Amino acid sequence: MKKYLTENSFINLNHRERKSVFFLIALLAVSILVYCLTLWWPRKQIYSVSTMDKYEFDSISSNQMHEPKAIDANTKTELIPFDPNSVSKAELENFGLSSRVASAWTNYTSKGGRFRSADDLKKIYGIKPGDVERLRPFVRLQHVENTEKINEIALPLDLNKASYKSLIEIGMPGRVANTLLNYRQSGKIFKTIQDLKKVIGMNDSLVEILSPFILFHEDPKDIDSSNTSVSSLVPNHDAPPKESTIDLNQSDTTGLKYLPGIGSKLASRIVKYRDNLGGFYTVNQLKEIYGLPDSTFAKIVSRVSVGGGIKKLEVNKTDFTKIHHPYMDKKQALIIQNYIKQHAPIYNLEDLKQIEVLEPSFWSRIAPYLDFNLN
Amino acid sequence: MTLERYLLELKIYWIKYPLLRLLIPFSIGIVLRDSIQVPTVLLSMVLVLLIVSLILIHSKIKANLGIVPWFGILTSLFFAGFGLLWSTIRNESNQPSHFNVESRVALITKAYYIEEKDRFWDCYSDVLFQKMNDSWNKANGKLLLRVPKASSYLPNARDVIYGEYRLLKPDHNAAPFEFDWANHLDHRNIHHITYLDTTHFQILKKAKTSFLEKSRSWSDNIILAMFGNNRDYPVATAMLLGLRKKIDPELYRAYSATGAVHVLAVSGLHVGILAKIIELLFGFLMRRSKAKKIILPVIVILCIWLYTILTGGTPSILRSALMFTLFIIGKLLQKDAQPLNILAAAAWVLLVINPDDIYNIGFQLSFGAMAGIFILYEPIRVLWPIENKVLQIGWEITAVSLAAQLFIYPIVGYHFHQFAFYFWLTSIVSTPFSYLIIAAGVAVFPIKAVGLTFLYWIDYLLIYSVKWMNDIIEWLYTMPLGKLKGWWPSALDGMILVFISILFGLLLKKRNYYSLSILLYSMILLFLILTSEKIVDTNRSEIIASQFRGRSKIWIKNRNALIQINGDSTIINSNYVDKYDIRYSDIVLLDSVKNYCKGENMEVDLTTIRADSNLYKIITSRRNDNKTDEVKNAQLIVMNKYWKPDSMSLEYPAKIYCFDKSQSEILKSFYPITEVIWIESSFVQLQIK
Repeated sequence: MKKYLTENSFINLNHRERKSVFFLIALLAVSILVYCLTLWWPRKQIYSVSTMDKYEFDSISSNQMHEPKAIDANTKTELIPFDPNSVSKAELENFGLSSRVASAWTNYTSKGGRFRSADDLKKIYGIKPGDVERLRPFVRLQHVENTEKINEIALPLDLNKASYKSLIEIGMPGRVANTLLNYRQSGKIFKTIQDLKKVIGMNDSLVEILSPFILFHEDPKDIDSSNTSVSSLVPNHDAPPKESTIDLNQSDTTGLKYLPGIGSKLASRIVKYRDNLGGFYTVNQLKEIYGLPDSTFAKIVSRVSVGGGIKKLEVNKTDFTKIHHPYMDKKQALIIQNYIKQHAPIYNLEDLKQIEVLEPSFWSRIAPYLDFNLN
Repeated sequence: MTLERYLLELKIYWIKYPLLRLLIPFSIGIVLRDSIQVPTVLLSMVLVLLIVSLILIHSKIKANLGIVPWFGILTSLFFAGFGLLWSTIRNESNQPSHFNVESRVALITKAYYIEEKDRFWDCYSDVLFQKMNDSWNKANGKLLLRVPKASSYLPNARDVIYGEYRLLKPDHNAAPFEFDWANHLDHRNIHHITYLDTTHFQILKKAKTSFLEKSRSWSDNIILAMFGNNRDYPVATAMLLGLRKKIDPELYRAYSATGAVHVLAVSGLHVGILAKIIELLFGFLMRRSKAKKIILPVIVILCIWLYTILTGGTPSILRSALMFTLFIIGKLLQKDAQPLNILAAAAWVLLVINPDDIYNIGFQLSFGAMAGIFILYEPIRVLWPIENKVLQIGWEITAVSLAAQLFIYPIVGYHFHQFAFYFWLTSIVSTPFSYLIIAAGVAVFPIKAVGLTFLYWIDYLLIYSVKWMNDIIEWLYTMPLGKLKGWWPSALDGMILVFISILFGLLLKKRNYYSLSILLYSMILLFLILTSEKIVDTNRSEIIASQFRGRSKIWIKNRNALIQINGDSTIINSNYVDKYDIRYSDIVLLDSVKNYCKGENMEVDLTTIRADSNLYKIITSRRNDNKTDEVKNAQLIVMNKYWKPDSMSLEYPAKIYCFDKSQSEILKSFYPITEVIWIESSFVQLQIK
């Protein structure tokens, strides 16, 4: 038996192999060491996390509610340059500010407040003058740099040719830029500043900001001749259009105010309702506007029209529960959303009409706002 | 030849592969981690003790040769223990620096791999920091972060995200014979999943697209431009780039049923083919060079890595490239080395880098196929000595694919539950096509990169090879016996099958009485194991009902098949009943009795089960019987938790099984003489006479 074990065994290792077993063990030990080292190697927190909503924090740790208000002087870290407009609560507390002041600060910035200079730090409620002086050398205003950037790239931009990207670069909000491009695609041409104002979502202050960067072709010859067919629109600023009708989907409050019986209040309601709807598809929808008397409607109905450009909801992509459409309440939205989720993709309205809970009248109203395109 | 002489010859084979011998206990140790939990400290102490005793034995060995076997035994024990320790350490949930698991956690995570699912982006993420008492602490660990596709955030690999999460443990799927997601995630070192709250999270750092990602999408776009978005396109990306795209389910079924599914999962085979092609090409160019023996392997390695980088380094290609590099380097360092030994060394390195690789299908296929080729190719090739050059090449390719297939068909069966009757035929088809596709792919990317327009005809080579391969595989699928499904080999069955393949190779090499008898004995052993499993099965038609997260499922387990009968589109009809010989156990859905068809045909659309049925009834009667009687004479009822007593119109069933305890109480009062059984676990197997 002994002989069998020593000579014919299947597990014996010869002298060389025995030595290499030790070598292998040493290699494996090194790999364990290296792995443990990478585990314990310190990692520096370089990311800044701004605070969440207050209730969120409370819900996480109710036992941490009684955190000490006074900040221990030892916890103050060294000040580093920071942008007061984007600094997080945690960072501010690290700078030695009390959590009350820090949350006042972040509340200010989260609600749209902006620091334009280091002196603005004094605006923060409860901040000590000493702290302002202490922080002042480290304030780096990102905003100032941004406006400089805009000035650098801003060339007079031709709205009839400008791309989405360049529009964004001169500071136009993305949604407005999109509408503008759609507007342009429908064959309209920008000749004057008035044309620009017709874009939905474009308000006077925005026009004021953007106008230095925009090049207008005063001479109609400059514009591509193929597009000139529609260029007879509202050239005159002072006189209301007498003959032509006003396009409800294109005009702004100023345009609407030319209509008899429409004051600034009603005009803004119309625009607001239109924006909520995504555009009118029939003039009769004006009746739905709150506070618009039937007599007024009868007066203006012949003077208004509706053009294209309705913003549609992509049925297969939109989350219905997250949008607020005047024709659909939350419950209906939820029903539709659940149905779509279970039956996606939806190809046409007939598919959706399978939802028996919702009445046909509901569908007839909302149908023009649904887009079943899958792409 | 005596037995002793024969054993000695076997030993001569065996001792050639010391690393393979050590690899076996190491992998056993790794696998044991799933079933054994030993405290790390205790285990390390045992290992240190083992090392000490090994040193002692080594120093005393010259004085006493009798202790030689002990060295071998202790070494095996040591490596098994090391495998266990290493995979335990590497399991991140065991590490002290793992993030604290609380009901809610605030974490900064960095995604390292993104997978697209139906409704989510699955972001496999590393935890970087955890917020504890308002300060950020370094933390380790991994997390599966599921980002709803409906949200505006489109995750990218290497995005750093802050969020507050509710951690969930992945569920072990309660249903038997189903894919165990929790186990799968555990082997990817993921122990927690969470869903991104899309209203409360912050992107701290948006990743820039890396060079690798750019090149991946570049090459993906090239393939897309070539194929268009048809059914061949995902096959091409899977084979050339290792990208997992949605392959047409019918085509995928054809691939898996015919035993060619490994072609789609990038493994060492693909990189091996690539290496072979390059070797042939440069070997021909450098046939006069003296430095060929050193330069050629270097060129091959360079080309493999160039290809890996060009195609964006998907994990499966990276692993295979690493395997081949190690293999080639090993061969370069030791010219007379046994290929199997070098293969074992490569496996060692990969398993030390990541022990969980052992569960990876790509890993198993790579090493299985390579080992098969090294062990079986020579013995098979010499079976048929051919003079004709062309025929010889054809036979060699067939021999290679046969050798690889004999090792990987148990692996494929284990993972994909398919027995490919035509695997020998499939491999003869798929191997040359794989060569063509990979050769064309290797050529296409540099050509497009440089822009050699006059070589663009190679596109067509690629397009048509993929197309024809798909067509042929689909044709094979339609042949009789092409669709043998429902083969469920256990891991033990699989290992014995691989072992039998090895013995088969041995028999071819040493054609003597002993080889034959060992092969026969182990076949008898396998037969015994299989029949012992079968004996339990044969005489019963089993109905397995399970309930998981409110979704109920029912299987019929028959003599030779396990059928899930309420998948998404299965309809029980007469064909089905005949095919699976469902005679005594039928299923009626009470709510859908109206759907229950007249005459012989049962047409119960079980897709409705999930949504609105309250009750399944399993009845024991012949299907020729009168239907109304069947409903009345129900003997068994299995119901889910939505069932309420008033909805039942039966008179005193013999037995009721239910899953809900409170429900069982109600039932007991409702049916005083019926035996109501509350099933504690979430699935139950019922034996029907």
